[in-house]
Amino acid sequence: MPEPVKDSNKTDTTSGEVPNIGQQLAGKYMTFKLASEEYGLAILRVREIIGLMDITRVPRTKEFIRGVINLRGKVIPVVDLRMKFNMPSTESTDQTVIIVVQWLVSNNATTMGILVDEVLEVLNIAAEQIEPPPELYSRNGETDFILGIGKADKRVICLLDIEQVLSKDETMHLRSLEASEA
Amino acid sequence: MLNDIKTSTKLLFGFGLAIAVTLIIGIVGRQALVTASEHMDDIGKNRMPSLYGVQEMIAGQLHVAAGQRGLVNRRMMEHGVRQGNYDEIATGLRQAADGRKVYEALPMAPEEQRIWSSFVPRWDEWQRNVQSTVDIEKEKDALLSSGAKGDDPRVTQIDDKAMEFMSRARDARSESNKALADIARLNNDFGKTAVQQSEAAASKNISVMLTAMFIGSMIAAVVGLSIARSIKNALDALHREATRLAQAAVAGQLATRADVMVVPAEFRGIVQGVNDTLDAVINPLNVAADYVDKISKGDIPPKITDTYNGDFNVIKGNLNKCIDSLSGLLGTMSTMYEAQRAGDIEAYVDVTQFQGAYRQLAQGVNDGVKSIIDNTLTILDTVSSYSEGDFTPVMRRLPGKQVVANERMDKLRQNLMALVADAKVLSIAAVEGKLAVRADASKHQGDYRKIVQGVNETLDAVIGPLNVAANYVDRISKGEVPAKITDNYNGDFNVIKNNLNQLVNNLNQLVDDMGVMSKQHDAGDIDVKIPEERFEGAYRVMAKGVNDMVFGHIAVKKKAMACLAEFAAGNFDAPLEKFPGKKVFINENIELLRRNSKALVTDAIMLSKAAVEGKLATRADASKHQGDFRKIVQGVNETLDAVIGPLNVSADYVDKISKGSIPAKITDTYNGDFNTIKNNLNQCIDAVNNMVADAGLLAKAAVEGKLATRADASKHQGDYRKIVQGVNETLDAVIGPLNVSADYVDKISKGNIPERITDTYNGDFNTIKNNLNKCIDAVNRMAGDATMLAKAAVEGKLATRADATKHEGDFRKIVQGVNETLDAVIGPLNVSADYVDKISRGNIPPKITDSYNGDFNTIKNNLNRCVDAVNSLVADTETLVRASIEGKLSTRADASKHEGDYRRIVDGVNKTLDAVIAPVMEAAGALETLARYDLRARVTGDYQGDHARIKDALNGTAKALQDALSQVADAVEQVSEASQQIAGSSQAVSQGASEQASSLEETSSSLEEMAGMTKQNADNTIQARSLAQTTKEAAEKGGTAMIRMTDAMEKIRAASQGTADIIKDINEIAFQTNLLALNAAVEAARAGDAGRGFAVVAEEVRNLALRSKEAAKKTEDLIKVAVGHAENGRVITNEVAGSLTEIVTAAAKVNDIVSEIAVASQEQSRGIEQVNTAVAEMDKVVQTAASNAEESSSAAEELASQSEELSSLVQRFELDRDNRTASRRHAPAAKEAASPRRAAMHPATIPPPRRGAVIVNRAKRPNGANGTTHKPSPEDLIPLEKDPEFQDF
Repeated sequence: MPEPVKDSNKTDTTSGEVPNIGQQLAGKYMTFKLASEEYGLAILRVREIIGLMDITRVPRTKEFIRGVINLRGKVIPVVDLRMKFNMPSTESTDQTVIIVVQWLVSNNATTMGILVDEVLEVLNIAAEQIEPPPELYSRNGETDFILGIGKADKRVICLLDIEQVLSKDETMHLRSLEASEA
Repeated sequence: MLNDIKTSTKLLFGFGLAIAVTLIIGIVGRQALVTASEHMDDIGKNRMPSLYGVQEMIAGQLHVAAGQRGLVNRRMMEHGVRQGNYDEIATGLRQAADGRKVYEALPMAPEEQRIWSSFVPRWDEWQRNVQSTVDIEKEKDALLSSGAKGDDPRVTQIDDKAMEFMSRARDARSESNKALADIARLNNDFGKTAVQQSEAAASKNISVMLTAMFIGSMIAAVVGLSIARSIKNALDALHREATRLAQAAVAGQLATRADVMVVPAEFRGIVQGVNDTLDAVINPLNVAADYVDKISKGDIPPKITDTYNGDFNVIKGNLNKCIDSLSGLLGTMSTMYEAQRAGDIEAYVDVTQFQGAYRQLAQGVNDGVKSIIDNTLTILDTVSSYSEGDFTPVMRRLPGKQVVANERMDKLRQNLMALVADAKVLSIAAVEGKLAVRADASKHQGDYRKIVQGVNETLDAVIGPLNVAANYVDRISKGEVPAKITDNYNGDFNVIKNNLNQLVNNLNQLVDDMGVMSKQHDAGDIDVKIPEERFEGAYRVMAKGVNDMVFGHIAVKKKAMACLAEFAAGNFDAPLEKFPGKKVFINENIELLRRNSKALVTDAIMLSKAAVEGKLATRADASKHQGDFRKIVQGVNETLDAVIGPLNVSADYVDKISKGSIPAKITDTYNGDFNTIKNNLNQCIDAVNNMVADAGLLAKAAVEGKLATRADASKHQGDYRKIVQGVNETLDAVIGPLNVSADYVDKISKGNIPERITDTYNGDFNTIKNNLNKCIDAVNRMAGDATMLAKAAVEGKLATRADATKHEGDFRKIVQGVNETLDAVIGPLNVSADYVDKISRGNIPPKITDSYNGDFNTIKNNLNRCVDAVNSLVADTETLVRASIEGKLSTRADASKHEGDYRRIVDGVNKTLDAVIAPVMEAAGALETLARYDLRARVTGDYQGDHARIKDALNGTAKALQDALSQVADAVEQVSEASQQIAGSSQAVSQGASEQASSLEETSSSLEEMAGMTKQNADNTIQARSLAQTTKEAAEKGGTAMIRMTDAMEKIRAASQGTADIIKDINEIAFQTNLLALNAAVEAARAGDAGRGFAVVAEEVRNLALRSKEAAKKTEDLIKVAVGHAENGRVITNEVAGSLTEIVTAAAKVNDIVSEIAVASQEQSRGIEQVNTAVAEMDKVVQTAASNAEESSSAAEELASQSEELSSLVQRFELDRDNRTASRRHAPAAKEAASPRRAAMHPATIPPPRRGAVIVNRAKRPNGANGTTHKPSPEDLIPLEKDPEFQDF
């Protein structure tokens, strides 16, 4: 179970070292659903999964930011991934959960919740099950956040680089939110 | 004269003259010119060079003189200038010498010679002096060059010498110059003379030439004009001839040709050409006309074999076609005839060669054209031969009339060439048969145009009818016989027209006769012939050929027909003789026909046998036959297929229809008769269906009792209509008598007994009629008996009974019943009457001890009670009477012993006694006074109430008596009248009562029946009510059960909801567990290898969570289904509950209605009983009323006598006459006083209804008992108008 290296994630998507990408990305992924599509998050990015709780809106934030929650005394921002991915917004269901993710940015842990339709499972994706993202997607570099495409049975799982999902500015914004609330 | 000369000769002559004149002119001119030339020679060769030489000499002298002067001049001492002067002198000398040489060479005139000889010494002198001057000067030059100065004397000497020389030279020169001038003058004079001479010669020559020219021109003009006129004449003649030809052609005179002799010889070629053209055109025309003529006369000429071109070929083709068709017809007919007669013979008509004239025409035209060209060439040759010298171009260029002549010649030549060309074109076109070709007249001018137009018109006139004829011949050759030509043509065209018309006539005649014959033959008259004698030539041959052929055919045909007739008669073995030649084919064909027919017959027999045996599948073997016979057999087979297919279908349908199973309509498409069959079957199905529908309708109507309903026969057709009409008539026959009997029964049931039925019916209807009549008789008898009984009852003959033996069956039972009823009614009635009678008579009988039933018992009891009451009343009355007799006015009857009104009577009596006794005393006194007829007595005591009223009454009575008695006499009269009226009324009442009695009898019997029916109704209703009740209860039970069920469902739903909540909880738990498991997995992942086990556990936990979620989901689904079912059940239950509620409501309503019906029925029953009772009582009352009426009547009579008695009594009274008027004023008071009695009566006269009769009966008794003492008024006895019952009644 090789741990996906944070630095390599960024470089791999752009450098396109096809033979290595599977081995680099193989590992456990927390899979979840948005609409009918499946996405995967590297397990080590996931802090925990919590059920849907009251989200406090923060004024004058971007639309995809649902607000902040109080997670055991710690205020973290919650991002609506549907909104972020330009999907139509829907009402929350009893399956809607918040996946709390965390990663380090210059030794500062960035924590945030992402709102997904349904959490599926912790899936072990082997190297041969992973393919690089097709060039088609990478137009304008807007889809850099896709690490690769995982295949399980007949399903297709978009492996997300959560750090790329939000741009640096947005991340900073989130962090400022987090800091201001903290 | 001139005309006879050939134009060429004329032209030659003319040209000759012209040339001669020209020659003269030329010679004269030449002579003149020679003279002039000589002069000019002299001038040019002698004079002019002489002058030149003279002039040269003079010029040279002048040069020399100038040089001399230069040399002499001292101012011109330069060497160059001097040298120039030397040169000048040299040149001058040379020039002078040249001039002298020139002049000396020339011949000199004598004068000249003379002058010249004088000149020469001077000239030489001059020359010497000049030379001397030059020499001196050269010395001077040498001197000067040696250095001598100008003013050197030597030089001056030289100069002087030079001057001298020079002056000498000048003198010589002037003299020589003089001579030279003379010479020049002389030469000039010579020249002038020569010029004058030549001028004179020229002018002479000019006049000569002019004269010659004039003469020549005149001659040329005369000749030209004459030639022109001759040509014009010739052209005119040509034009005339052309016009004449054109007119002749238009007139149809095709034989007309142009007269060659009228035109000049040169033009005869043209005319000849035109004639030839016409010949070429008209020849074929004539040939065609001849042919047409021949053809029209039936003389068929041989074919035209010549070769024609263009339209002639068409005409030829048409003619040949015509000939071909005609001769072909003839040939074919004769060939056919011959062939028919002797087998197959062929004949061919040989056609001789036809030689056309077109070649000649062409040749002629060519010759004509050639001669024209030759003539023209001759002229040209002549002209050219004349102009062969140098004069040819001059001549051409010459102006004036010669050119005109020349141009005319050219123009003439051109026109003639054009004409010739057109004639050539026309003749070539004519030879080629292009008859439409015409010359272009616009290319020509003047008469030439007329010529061309004339030729064109000639061609038009010729070719127009030609085309018509060609068209007719073409149409005739194509067999289309056109109408006759009615246009007018002239000459040969008319012949052509007539021939064509004759041809048309003959053809039409032939066609008509053939048509007639064929028509007659078609009509069967095969002996008809074409009348041959009517035709000529080939037409007759044709007609005869047709006749022969036809009869030959008919002969053979008759034989063949005889054989065929045998065939037709069915004898296929009939023999046929062998025909010769090709007619054998008839034998062969007939034999083949025989064979085929036999085969066909065999197959037909086979098929018919099979058909007879019903083997509809059997088919003939078509392969055994050939040609149309095969088609016949195939046709028969297909026909059989086609017939049997639909036959089977229709058989099937008919089978179904016959079995009553009406099939659906046939929707397949058939053709022809099968379609008819199909339509008939469909119609049959429709008709049967309609019949069934109508039968159903009738049956339904009959069941519903709508006997007037009939089937609509017009909807059906044929026998179906007859069936329906039969059914309708049957219904009419059945229902007619039925209606009559129903009407009768109706009338009978309504009591309106009709007359006997006298109509005649048959069978069962007769039985019905008889039964009805019997019924009518029985009812009539019954009615008679009832009337009789009623009458007897009215008459009080209660013993009268109907004779039951007169009636039969139930009627007898009815009568017996009535009799028994009467017995039953009258027995007790008699007893009660007896009792009442006794009671009324005061003879109170003992109590009735017999036992009666029902109402009679009531009557009995009432009577007994009445007896008791009356007995006690009598006893009390006796007591009171006794006491009152004894004067014991205080004695009172014991009212408690009595009941009801009796008690009231007794009480009343007692009270009356109490109240009465006090005032009675005074009243007694007053009355005593009154009794003494002293009507003035009055009661004076102060009384109140009734006593006051008694007092007032008494007083009033007294007064009234006083008043009344005075009027009593009148009153008595009135009373008498009133009693009469009463007697009448009583009579009427009595009559009414008897009528009532009979009505009551009927009512009674009807009521009897009604009672029975009502009872049954009541019973049924009770049963229905109990049933309805049971239903209602059952429904109510169902309702409660439903409510329980709904509750149960609701509980299920509630429980499901609870379960759903639990499942939601479970789901929530599963969800949370899943999250926990996932978080655990995350944690395990974070722990790396250490967390691997934990990851497994987390995975398991997650699986458990998923499983529990799934299980919860399944359960939820199941519960959802259950809830759905429960909900469904609830809805259904609600519906059922609603239905049950409706049932309960309905049942309750039914129950209520039935209950109401039951109650109503019971009430009805009771009411009917009461009515019955009432009727019975009414009966009694009526009886009583009747007797009372009689009594009233007698009472009225009695009243009359009593009124008389009264009047006598009144006489006895003493009346206060003064008070009479006053007493009258008190009459109302008297009435008031009388009212208590009436008031006392009222309670008795207004009893409860059923007690009324009894009261009346009771009222009778005092009447009977105290008849003499107290006479009640009829109104008192029977207050009819006051009794409400009677008023109602």
